[in-house]
Parts: sequence; C-alpha cells; structure tokens
Amino acid sequence: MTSLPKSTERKLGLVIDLDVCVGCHACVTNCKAWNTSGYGAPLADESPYGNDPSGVWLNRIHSFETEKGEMNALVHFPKSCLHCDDAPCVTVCPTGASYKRVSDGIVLVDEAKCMGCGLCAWACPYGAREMDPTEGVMKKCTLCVDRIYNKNLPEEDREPACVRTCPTNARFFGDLSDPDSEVSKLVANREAVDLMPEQETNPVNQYLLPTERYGAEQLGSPDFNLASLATQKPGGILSWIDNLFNGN
Amino acid sequence: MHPAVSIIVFSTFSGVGFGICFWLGVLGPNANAQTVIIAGFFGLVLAVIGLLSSLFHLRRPARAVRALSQWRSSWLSREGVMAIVTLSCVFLFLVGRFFNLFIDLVTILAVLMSLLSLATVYSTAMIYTQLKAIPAWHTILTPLVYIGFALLSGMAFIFSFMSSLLGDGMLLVNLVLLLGSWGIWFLWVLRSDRIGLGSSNVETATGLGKFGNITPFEPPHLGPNYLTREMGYTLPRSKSRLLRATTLTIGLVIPLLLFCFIFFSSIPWLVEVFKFLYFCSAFAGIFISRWLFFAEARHTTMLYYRKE
Repeated sequence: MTSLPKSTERKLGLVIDLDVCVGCHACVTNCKAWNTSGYGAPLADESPYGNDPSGVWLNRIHSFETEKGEMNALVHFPKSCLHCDDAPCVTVCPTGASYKRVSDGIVLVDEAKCMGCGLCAWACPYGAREMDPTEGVMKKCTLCVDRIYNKNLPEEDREPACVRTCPTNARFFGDLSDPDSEVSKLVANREAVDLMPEQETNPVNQYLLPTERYGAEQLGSPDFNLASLATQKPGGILSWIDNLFNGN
Repeated sequence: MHPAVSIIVFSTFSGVGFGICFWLGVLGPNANAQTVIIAGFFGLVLAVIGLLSSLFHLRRPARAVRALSQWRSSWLSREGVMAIVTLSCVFLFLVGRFFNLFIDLVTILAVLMSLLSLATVYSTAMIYTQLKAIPAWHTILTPLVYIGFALLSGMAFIFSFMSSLLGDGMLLVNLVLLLGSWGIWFLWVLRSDRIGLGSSNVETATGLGKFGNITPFEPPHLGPNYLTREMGYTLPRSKSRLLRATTLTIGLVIPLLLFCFIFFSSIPWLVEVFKFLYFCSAFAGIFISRWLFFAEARHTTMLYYRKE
C-alpha cells in the first residue's frame, strides 16, 4: 500500500554540512558508480559523451550565491532524496511501487511494480526522482540500502556511498530519531534546516547552515587587509632565501 | 510542466466522454432509445480514447493494470477504478435501453451514471490538484474547471449531434455552461498568475534565507536532465497572452456567435453546420486551455536550477 506509515521505528537519513562542502562532486560520482551496479536496474546514461550529455543521477550538486551587503559567498549545495516523513511521492503512486519502510524510514521504489507514469517525480517538490530512460522505471536515492546492512562489506563501508567518499566530511549518515546519534547531536549543536518547510513534507535529511566564520562582516572590515600581509618583511632563513632570489 | 499530448488528450477526451454520459443520465431515461444509444456509444468511445491515450504516457504500459490497486491513497488509482466502474454502468444502462430491459433499474442506473461520471472527472482533476509542488494546480478551482469543461463539452456534443434529446430550455443550459465554465477558467488563470510558486522560493528551497538574497550560481551540469525537461518547460509571456486570447476566442467568443446564428438562422442545413462548428470550436478551445494548464504550470524543483 502506498499509504504512509504513521511512524517509523528509526529515521535513517543524511546530515549535510554546507559549511564544509567544497562542491568536488566526489559524492555524485561515487553515488553513480555504486548505484549503477547495485540495487535495481543500472542508472542509464542516454548520452554519456558528446555535446549534449544526459543521464540519471540520484545526487546532484548545485551552487548558490549569497548576497548580503557588499560581500558575496558561494555555497555548494548537494541534493538527493530527503526521505521525508510525509513523502508526497509515496501517496500519489497508483501501483504500490513507492513505499516508505516502517523499520528505518527509507523511501524506496519497487522497480518490478513501477509502470513509469512519472507522477511521483511531479509530486516531489525537490526533484529527487528521475525516470530511467532505458528501464522505464523511476529511480531515486535508496540511502544505499544495499550497503548499510550489507554483512559482506567491512563495517566502515556500511554507510551510503556518498558519505563514505566525501573527502571533506561534509556528509553524515545515521538515525535522526535517536537523540544520542552523531547526526542528532550535529543537528542539535549546529543550525540545521529543513528544505522547503512550507511544503509540509517533513524531510528527514537535515542541512547544516554555513557558519558566519568567513562572513561578510570580517572580510569587509578595514582590519582584515590582505595587502598588509604581502608587505611584511621576512626574517631569518626566509630573509636569506628572499635575498638570494631577489639579488639584493 | 512539459505539455505531453498523451495527457492532454486523456483529460479532454475522457472529459467530453464522461460529460456526455452525465447528460445522458439526466436526459436519457425517457428519451428516444435509438438516439440515446448512439449518444451513449459516442460517450463510451470518447472516454475510452482518452483513457487509452493516458497509457501512452507510461513508460511501461504493460503494468498499467497495477494502477488500480492503490485506490486507498492515490488519486490516479482512484481515477482508473472510477473510470472502469462508470463505463460499466454506462454500458449496462445502454444495454437496458437497447433491449428495453429492467426499466426500473435503468432509471437508477441513469442517476448512478451521472454521479459516477462527475466523480470520475473529479478524480482526474485531483491527480493534478493534489500536487502541492505545483501551486497553480493546488486549488479547488482545478476540479471545478475540469468538471465545468466536461459538462460543457458533453452538452455541446449532444447539442451539436443529437439535439432531438434536448428540450427548448437546453439553449439556456448551453449558454449558462459556456459562460460559467469559462468564467471559472478565468478565475483559475487569475489565481495561477497571482500564486506563482506560492510560499516557496529559493531561500526556503536552500534554507539559506538568513544570508540575504540567494541566486542559483551554477547548475549541477551544463545540459538538461529528466527534471528540467519535465518541469522546466517555459512559455514566453507574450506567447502565453496570445494563446490565452486564442483559447477564449475559440472556446467562448466563436461559440457565442455561432449560438446567435443558430438562434436566428432559418435555413435548416446551415443550422446543422453551425451546430457542428459549435462543438468543434468549444472543444478546440478546451483543448488549448488544457495545453496551457500544463505548459504554464511552474514546479518548485526549478528553484534549484534557475532564477524563477
């Protein structure tokens, strides 16, 4: 049944730290690599090469410019399925292919039942679902359900591919219903947000906002002067090297 | 949203088909059996054409029968179930009228047929109305527009081809339907222009609102993808205005003029031609308005991809 469960035993999900993400696309690549050979049909590429490449990806990195006062900042913004508590994509499904698991809250598609109508992709306000052009079924983030419980993998690999590969530790995986989990502590200690709360989807995944460490206030202040760093006279051995190259 | 022909044909043809069935339920229990059966046949055929057209939107149409299973939660599923129940009811009604069987039952079937036809068109509309991610569709006006157009096109069909079913008062009913349904459409358009993406914007989409104005900087990739192809369809404002004016002209103004001609013309064959044109024009107007329904709809997903 594509009715949503009243509650789930756990809420597995991701916490994404926008302060740390550098937009390297490693998570995107590893997601594609794992999921094209993992759960369900491969992730098709209608056109992998050439001038107009196109394919299915379950995780994509956008970037946004923030503008406050005179200073702008760039925020890299990874986006994948948020495994919402009130997932609108599940209830619209006419075939029973979309479902949310009671045991861990993961939203999945049973590809053997999907008829490829695409209504779930329309229902998702975030654009987390993409139609597979060759299989004709809907693809979405599975939270690497074939990794996180996989006893054949070493224990450190039993987390989503995107989290495992992130070189800057911007992505965390865990149970957001357990207040003692690492992810819940992050959410409690940092400023965490739901995406589009007005859509009333109650997303499980949380985004940690950039801290104001490098905010406009500091960069724009007269005390913070990069030029003053450049004119400092070196001393000691650095002075000797400096003289060697400059010839005076 | 991408205006897929299969879906536009689905909702307009099933609309006129079930519209005809609705009016047959109202007019048909006592009217001339032969005319009722011919009209009912057209109703069934048009509704079935619409329903079959929806299969062309599926990537795996062979699994379509599964779509009847989730009626507890899904409007698309409910639409499928309701359509089949309604068509069965219409079929039984026509069989009853044809063989002059179960006369008492036919009256009950007629009432049932009208109610079920309305419920089916309502379910069709709810497939789109339920989507909160497309604020322009998420309003009670959407099912009203769908029901209004189904009743109008169904009545126009009967008026054009089987006007012997209609009494004199039906000229007035036609006029009321014509003005009423386009009136609701006009309200829908006004609301959709005003609502835009509702309370969603790039600040809520990214959660970065406290950092001031947010603008999309780089998309994840240079080319289009399924999401931008499906939800990123945009109609230039000038084109939109032109098409809206065309819709109103073909769907409302021309039918109104034809109405006057029919009323005042004394040449019988000319009246028949005008009646034929009346249905064609009204239906073409509804068809273009349904194309616009999709083409102009904006989806919140695009907030991540471009400045909306």
